[in-house]
Amino acid sequence: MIGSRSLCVSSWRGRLPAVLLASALLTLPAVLLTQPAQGQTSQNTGQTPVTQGPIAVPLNDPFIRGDANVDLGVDIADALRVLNFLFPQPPDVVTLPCEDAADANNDESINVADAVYILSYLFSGGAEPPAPFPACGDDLDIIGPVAPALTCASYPACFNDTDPELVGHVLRRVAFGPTRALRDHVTSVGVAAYIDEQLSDAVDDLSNTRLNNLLGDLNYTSNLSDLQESNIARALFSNQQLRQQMTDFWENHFNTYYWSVRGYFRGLPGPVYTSSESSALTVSLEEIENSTLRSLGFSDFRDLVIASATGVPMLIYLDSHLNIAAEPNENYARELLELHTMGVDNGYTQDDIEELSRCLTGWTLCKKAPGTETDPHAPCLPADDATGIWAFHFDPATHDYDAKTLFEGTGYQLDIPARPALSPDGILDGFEVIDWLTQDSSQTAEFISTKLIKKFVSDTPPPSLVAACIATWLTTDGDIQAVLDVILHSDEFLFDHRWNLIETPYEYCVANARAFDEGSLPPGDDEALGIRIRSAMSLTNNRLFEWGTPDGYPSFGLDQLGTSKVLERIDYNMRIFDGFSSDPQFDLVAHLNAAGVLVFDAASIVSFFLDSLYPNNYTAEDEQLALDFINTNELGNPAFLNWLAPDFPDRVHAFGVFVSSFPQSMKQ
Amino acid sequence: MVEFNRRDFLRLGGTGLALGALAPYAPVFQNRFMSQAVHAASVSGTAKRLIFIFLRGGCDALNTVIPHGDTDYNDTADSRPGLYIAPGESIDLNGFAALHPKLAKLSEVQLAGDLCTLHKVAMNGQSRSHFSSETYWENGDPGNLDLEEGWLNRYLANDALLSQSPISGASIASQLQTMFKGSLVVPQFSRLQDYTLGTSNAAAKLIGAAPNGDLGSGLLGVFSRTPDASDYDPVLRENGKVLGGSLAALQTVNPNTYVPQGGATYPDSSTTTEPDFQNGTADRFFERIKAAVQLIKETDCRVMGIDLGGFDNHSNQGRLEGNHPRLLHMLAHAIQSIRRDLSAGGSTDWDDTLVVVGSEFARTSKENASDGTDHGHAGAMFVAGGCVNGLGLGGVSGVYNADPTTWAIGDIFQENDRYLIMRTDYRAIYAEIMERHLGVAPGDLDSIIPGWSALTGSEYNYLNFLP
Repeated sequence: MIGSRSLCVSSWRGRLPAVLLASALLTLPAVLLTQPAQGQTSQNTGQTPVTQGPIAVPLNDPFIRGDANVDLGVDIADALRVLNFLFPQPPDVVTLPCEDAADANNDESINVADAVYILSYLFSGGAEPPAPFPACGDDLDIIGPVAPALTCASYPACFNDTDPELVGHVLRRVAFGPTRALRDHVTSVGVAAYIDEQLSDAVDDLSNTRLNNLLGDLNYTSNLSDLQESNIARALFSNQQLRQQMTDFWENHFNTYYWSVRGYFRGLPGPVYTSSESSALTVSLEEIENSTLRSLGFSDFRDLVIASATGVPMLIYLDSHLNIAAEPNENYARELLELHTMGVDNGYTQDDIEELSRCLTGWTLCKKAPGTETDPHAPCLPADDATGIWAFHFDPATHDYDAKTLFEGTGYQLDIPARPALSPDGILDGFEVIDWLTQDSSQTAEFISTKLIKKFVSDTPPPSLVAACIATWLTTDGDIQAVLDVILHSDEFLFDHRWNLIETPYEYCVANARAFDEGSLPPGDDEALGIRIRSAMSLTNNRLFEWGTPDGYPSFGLDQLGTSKVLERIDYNMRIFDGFSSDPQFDLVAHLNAAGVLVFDAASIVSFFLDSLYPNNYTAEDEQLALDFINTNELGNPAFLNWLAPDFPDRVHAFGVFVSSFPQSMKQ
Repeated sequence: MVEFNRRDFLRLGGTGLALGALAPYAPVFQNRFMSQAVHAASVSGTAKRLIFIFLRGGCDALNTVIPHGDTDYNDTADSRPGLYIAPGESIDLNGFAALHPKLAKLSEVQLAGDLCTLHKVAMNGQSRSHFSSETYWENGDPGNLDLEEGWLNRYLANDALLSQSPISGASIASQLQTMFKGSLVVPQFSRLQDYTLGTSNAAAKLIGAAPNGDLGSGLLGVFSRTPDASDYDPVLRENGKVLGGSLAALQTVNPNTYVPQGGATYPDSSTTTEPDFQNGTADRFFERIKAAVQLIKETDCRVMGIDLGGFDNHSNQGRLEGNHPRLLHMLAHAIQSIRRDLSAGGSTDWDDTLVVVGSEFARTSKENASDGTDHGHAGAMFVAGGCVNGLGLGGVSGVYNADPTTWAIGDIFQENDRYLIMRTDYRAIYAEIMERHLGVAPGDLDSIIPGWSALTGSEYNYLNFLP
């Protein structure tokens, strides 16, 4: 188990010790620091080992020794957890969910020696914790040799790592829903390993011929539909599922509107671009935004904001190019604070919006000579220069060089100094504010962490998890990978909140197709599937780059509901499982055969579908209704399913539509 | 449209209680499913209707209802060098305020005494965020971002009869509008013609309405079972049931064969010669307006919500032509057609209908350097209907809060030196509509507008645009 955590252990070792060790040392009583760590290993209660029969104790959870914070790995945070438990800083109350796990030296008491033992193991070559370690296991002390004094009240992470319900849960959220092959994979490696595999890019799509063939057929750098379908294709088939999830998340967070951007280019006097040239150019720029956000999906939040702020689509969409010293346009500044960083009305005022607008004056776009397009100070070419490349540009002539003050009178007042007129350093005003917003602002840490938790865990984010994310954000200067690591390994995510999110229509369509893909979609129908999903998105207004307002399409809770939202999902199921000739033709009978289901037995078909779609989340009532459905004909007359009858495939497909339209299907 | 067989629904009503699957939800399920028949029989023909048109993005009120009486507006160099509209270009209402020329089609409504123009409407503590301001306009509880419940939902949910109907309200929008979110699930659809699963037997069986099928089978049976404890399970199941009920109620409402009356038109971009309407926004808007009119004529739907987006014109707003004027033209055309259609042939539908137009906020009184305007404060509303205190009725001009007694010169800069100051809280408009149009007892207003009775101050006085 610890091996599967190599990403987290190694990266946290590399990233955190300086900060966290300092705080650990502050907490540790000075006298203990002088004791040799090695000596702690043999220190125990001094009891004489006794051999005796099983002791009647409550059955404890399996656990990993040393993992005091029960996150499936042993790292410095565990030592800190022990110390914070022993020496809490009021008003904090620190608990140990599993005392046995915190008892790193297995002396059946929690004391400083346990923290020192962990630190020694991690940093000084000390002995590893006694069993169970590094994999989950039971506390062998239950049957001796030392009378157990401690218990393990809660260590759910160990218990269920390959539990079908947990696997399904993780794949509905970290991925775009399970496929059978992926479910088998995760069941064999465990969810923690899968999460780390996704977060660390341990898998790629280099030899993913299915995805690459599909992408190869799409002109996604010049055609809008193809660009939309390329994202759908990745959601359907990419091995990097979490990366695509985050790509969609950031695309929506930093939403730009294709039609605004296209209108800008189409309107350039001349005209410079024909209608079709404007379209192709805009798609190419949105594609750059898309692939940039994909590559930065787990990066520092600062990099994401800067990529968005200096991206050509955003410079046009929220009027940055019109924001000049003589008369600032506050459109982008407002949304940067409200939507992209701090969150609405969260620690800033109208005055701050106006001051930030002044900081960002001169941020514009123009064409640059090839090779200079990444230099905001490089000279501009005329808009009709055929060789030029549209890029971010800093224009000193329109920048406001006077001093600015943001958040005046707060504990986080930012003073931006006046700079010499026309200095290229004027560009730094904006970067300085963005640095603070993305790395130091607790408001941003709170807003983005909360939004991520709403995506992955719950629409009512657990305060404990929000606090953990904010702390991680502020110690890592907004490292999204570290924050995701906290969220996705938390008990709150893994165990406490299942089936409590409403899937977006996009997630819904992709997940239902993935669920039945195995052995059932003929080669060559992948593109038809992408087209069908894109067209379902046009019904629900969720097409990428076509949401007109900067807030991005609604993606949480009740925003996903509405009677027509239910109807559109059912309609989609009818089309892909029982549809028209232009639609993808899933062969659910082949799917059943590929899975080895006994097709002559209606009950087997019913339970196969229910178990694979809704593990542990359907009732006997659901099952009976499903049986009744499959055992009646179209008119509703009882007619037992007969696998030799001509209507068998139709019956199975109609049943596929039915069972995939259950209320459970609309939840994650 | 799925062939819902009314006999089956009647049968369902009679046997629903016997079905174990339905038992926990039987009263709601049965009533809301049945209510098209129940309801039609139980209310008179004078049921009041409301169409709320929400102008999304923050409509520039000063270039919609133009306050020529405020000479600061006319000081073009200072306020609106590029966007200024001269008195001679606009349509005078009362010698103080005038309509943008693209609202010319409202003249027909105004001169008939059927249009009220309300100005200087907003809320205290305006946030100037689209998101929060729209939420407050729709949940009726300014400052409370967490209340995901609309004022119109509360109206329907609190009414003993309306709450039993699967189609007493309709959010005719691409998303369920916040004004309709809440404990009562209100149908939502983007396009009426798409609100169907088809007419096949397979679709009927899928839903649980196969001709010979068991009642409580199919998806209706699944959706009707007892909800589990997860966050959204009850509301999700209720959505499925209301979907079934509203599909049944709308089975005979066919938008493809609908014929507008009285000279009303709902233009389509592929056939219209009007350049302002040759775009997708106009198509969707007119389609939804038409759906609302059809629902009024052919169903017992009482409260409908429609959005018109695109008012967030930070740049290239347009003066006489362009983004903002184009949207005004759509709005005026829609209100003109609603009136024509609902009053044609001596119908009294128009007398029972109120069309209310609002926006989350207005825009800065000065234009910015990009030929646009930024987020502002107080704005304008329209209220149209056959029974409003419009021109000539009760000795009024039909213009409220835009005359020398309610508007001092310079009011367009009175708020923060950049915004029009408010005079009336939007909740006073809501309360007047609820009390005088929809007949809500004054003592019940608090259940629709939280804390209403405790609000004190002149901004909560009724404007008396309704008799």
